[in-house]
Amino acid sequence: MSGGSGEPNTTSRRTWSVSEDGKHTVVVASRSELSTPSTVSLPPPEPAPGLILPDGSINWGCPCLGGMATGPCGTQFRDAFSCFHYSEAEPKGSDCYEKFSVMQECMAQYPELYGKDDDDDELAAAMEESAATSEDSTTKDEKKKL
Amino acid sequence: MLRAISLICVEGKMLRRSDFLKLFRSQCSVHSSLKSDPTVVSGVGVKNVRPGTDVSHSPPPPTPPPPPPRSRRAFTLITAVTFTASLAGIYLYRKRTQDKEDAVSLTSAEAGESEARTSCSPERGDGLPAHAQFLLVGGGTAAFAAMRAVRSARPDAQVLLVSPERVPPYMRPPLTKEIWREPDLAERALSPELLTFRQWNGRRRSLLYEPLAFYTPPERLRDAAPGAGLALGWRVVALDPAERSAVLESAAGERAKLTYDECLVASGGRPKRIGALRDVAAAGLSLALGSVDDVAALARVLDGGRRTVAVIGGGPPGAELAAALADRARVVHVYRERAPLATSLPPNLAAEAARALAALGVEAAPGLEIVGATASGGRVRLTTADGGALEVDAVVECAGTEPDVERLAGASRLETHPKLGGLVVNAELAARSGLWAAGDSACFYDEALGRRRLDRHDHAVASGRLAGENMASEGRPRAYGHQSMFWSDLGPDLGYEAIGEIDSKLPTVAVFCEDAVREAKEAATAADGAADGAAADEAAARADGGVRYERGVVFYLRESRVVGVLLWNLFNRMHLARQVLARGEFEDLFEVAKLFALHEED
Repeated sequence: MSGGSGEPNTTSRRTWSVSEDGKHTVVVASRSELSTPSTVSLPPPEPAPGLILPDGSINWGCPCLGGMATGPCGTQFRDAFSCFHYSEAEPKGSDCYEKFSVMQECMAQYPELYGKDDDDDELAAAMEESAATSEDSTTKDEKKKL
Repeated sequence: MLRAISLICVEGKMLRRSDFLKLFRSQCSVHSSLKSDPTVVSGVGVKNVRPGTDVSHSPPPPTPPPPPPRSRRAFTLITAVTFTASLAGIYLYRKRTQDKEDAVSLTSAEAGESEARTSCSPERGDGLPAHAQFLLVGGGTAAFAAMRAVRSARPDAQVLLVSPERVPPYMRPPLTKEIWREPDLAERALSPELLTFRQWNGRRRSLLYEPLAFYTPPERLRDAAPGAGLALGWRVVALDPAERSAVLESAAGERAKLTYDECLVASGGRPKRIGALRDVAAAGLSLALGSVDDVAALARVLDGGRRTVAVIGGGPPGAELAAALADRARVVHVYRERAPLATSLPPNLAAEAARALAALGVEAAPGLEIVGATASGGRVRLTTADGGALEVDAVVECAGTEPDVERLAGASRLETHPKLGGLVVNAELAARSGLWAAGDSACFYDEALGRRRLDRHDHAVASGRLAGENMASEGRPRAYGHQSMFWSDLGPDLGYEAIGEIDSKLPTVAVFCEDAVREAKEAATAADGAADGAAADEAAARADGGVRYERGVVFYLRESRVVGVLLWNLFNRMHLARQVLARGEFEDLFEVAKLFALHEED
C-alpha cells in the first residue's frame, strides 16, 4: 500500500486492514505525529476571481452580482456600473446620474426582483447601523482567526 | 473620494438588487471595513462550510424572492467600505439580520397557482420564438448556470430554456436534505415559487434560483428582445445539428420548430425506478424524489399522521433521505448491501453510517432486495428476495439516476455512451459544432480521470457554466477541469464531503488521529474528550464495527494515483482535497494526510 508504511520505527502509527481482501487500510497516528510539518507541499489554491479582475476590469460573471448583470435590467445595470467604475469625476460617479436613472426606471418595472422604493428609508438607517455593528463583528472575527 | 468600486457580498455573496441603486443614491457614504460573516468570504472559522455549495462553485444563490405577505422587513445592512486612492474600492457588505419566515397557507390564490403549473407556458407553439440564439435543452441547474454564463458574457444574448417541468430552475440537493426540516411542507411545496429552506450555514434561501419575474416572457423573445426566456411544460424532442434546428413538443402535444445558433443539452437525470414497484408507483404509493412535485406528494403522505416509509437504496441520497425523514415518520431503510453507503465507503465507515442512522431512529433492513409489492387498503406490502415481507404506508425509491437524453439522442442521431450513458462530448463539452452538453446529460472527457459522467449538483453548476462560456465565446473553447464535490449529512453528528471517484471497489487508505478512534464500548460510555486511542486494538478493528471512527480523511486509489478524497466529519478542507486530487501521485499518503490537520476539529 502506498500510504502510511514508511519508517515504522520512528512513528506512533498503527496500520490495519478493515476488509477481508486487504483493500481498505486504516492508519491511526498520534496527535503529536500528525502535527509535525508535512513533507508534501501543495501550490496555493488559485484565487477565485472577484468582481474586479486584476487588470481593473469588471468581471460580469462574478457570482457576487447574483442576477444583476444577467436579469431583465442587466444591460442598464452594466451601463451604470461601468460608468461608476470608470468614473473619474469628483465625487466618483457623479457623472453617471443619467445612466442610473435609466437603470432605476428599468428596475421599477420589476418590483418583485428589485425591491420596493419604501426600502430606501431603511437603507439610510441600515447603513448607519451596519457601521456600528460591523466594527464589533470585525473584532470578533479577527479574534476567531487567531 | 471614492476611486473605484468593487462589491463583495457576504452571506451568500450576492448583492441584493436594490442595494446597488440605494448605495449610489445615498452617495456612497464611507465606513470602515468589516467582515460580518467569515463563512463565505474566507471559508474559515465556522463548522460545516460547504465549499462546493458556496458561491465559489455555485451559481449565485438566489435572493429569496420577496414573499407575498410583505411582512418581511428585508433588513439589509450595507456598509460601504473603502479604501485607498487607487483601486481598492467600496465593499458592500450586507447582512440580513432579519429573515422572518413567512408561513404560507393554502389559499385559493395558491391553489390557482398550482393549477397554473399543470399547463404549459407558453401554451401554444406560436408563443415561442422562431429563433433562439442560445437554446438550452432543460431547465435544471446546468441549464441555469449556462444561462448565467451566456448572459454574463453577452448581455444582449437571447437565451431560451426549455423545460418539461412547470417550475422555473431550482436547486435539487435540498429535496433529499434540508427541505424536510421545513414545517407545513405539504402545503408549501405546492407553491415552489415561495418555497425556502435553511441551508447549512443557517441562511434561509429560496429553492428557486430566480423568481419567475427574472425571466423574459417568451412572447418578448419573439420580438428578438434580449433576455432569458422559459418554455415550461415543453420538451425538445429532436435536434438537427446540421440545420441547427430543434423540434419542441409541449405536454399537451403541441409542436413547434425553431432554429438556434448554439445549443446546450442539459436535460438532467431522472430517477431510476424499481421494476418490482411499478404497480404501487402507479397507485401513487411509491415515488422517487426527482422534483419538487414529488416532495409535495411525499409530504402529503407524511402529514397524515405517524406513517411508516420505506426508503429504498443505500447510496448517499437514500441514506441522507432516511436520516432527513426520521423526524417525520417511522423510516425503514432497505438496501442490498450489508451497510448503508457500502458501495461508497470503506467498511469501517459504512458501519459508522449505520450507527448514525440507527441513532436517529432509522430502522435498517440491510441485505434485502425488493422483488414484489402489492397495494391494499392504502398500504404497501413489500416482498423481499429472501422471502420476507414488509408493510409500509409509502415507498421512496432512491435507486440512483439515469440521464434523460436517450430519446433525444436517438431522434437526433447523436452519440451516447454505451456504458456510462449521456451524450458523448469532448473535454470542452462539445458534441458537435454548435452543440454542447453539460450536467447529468454529458459523458465528458476528464483530462485527469478519463471519461466520466456525473450526477452531482456541483458538476451541473461548473459544467453548465463552462459550456455557457464556451458557447458564448468567440475565442477558443476551454476544457472542463473542475473536479466536482458532493456533501451529505446523516443527522447532526455525521457529515461528509467528497471529491473525485468515491467507490469502495477502489482500494482506500484512511488516516485518523488517535483521539478520533475509539473502541465502541468506550465511545458509548465516554461523553467526549481525551480517550486514549491505544485502547483500540487490531482484533477489535477486524471484528468490523468494534472501533469508532469519528473524524478522518480517506484516499481512494487507482494504481498509485489518488482519484478520490473523502472528508469524514472534517470540514473546511475541500480546497486541500481538490489540490491533492489534481496532483494525484504522492510518495507517502500519511504525509498528505498531515496537510488536513486531522487533529484539529475545525
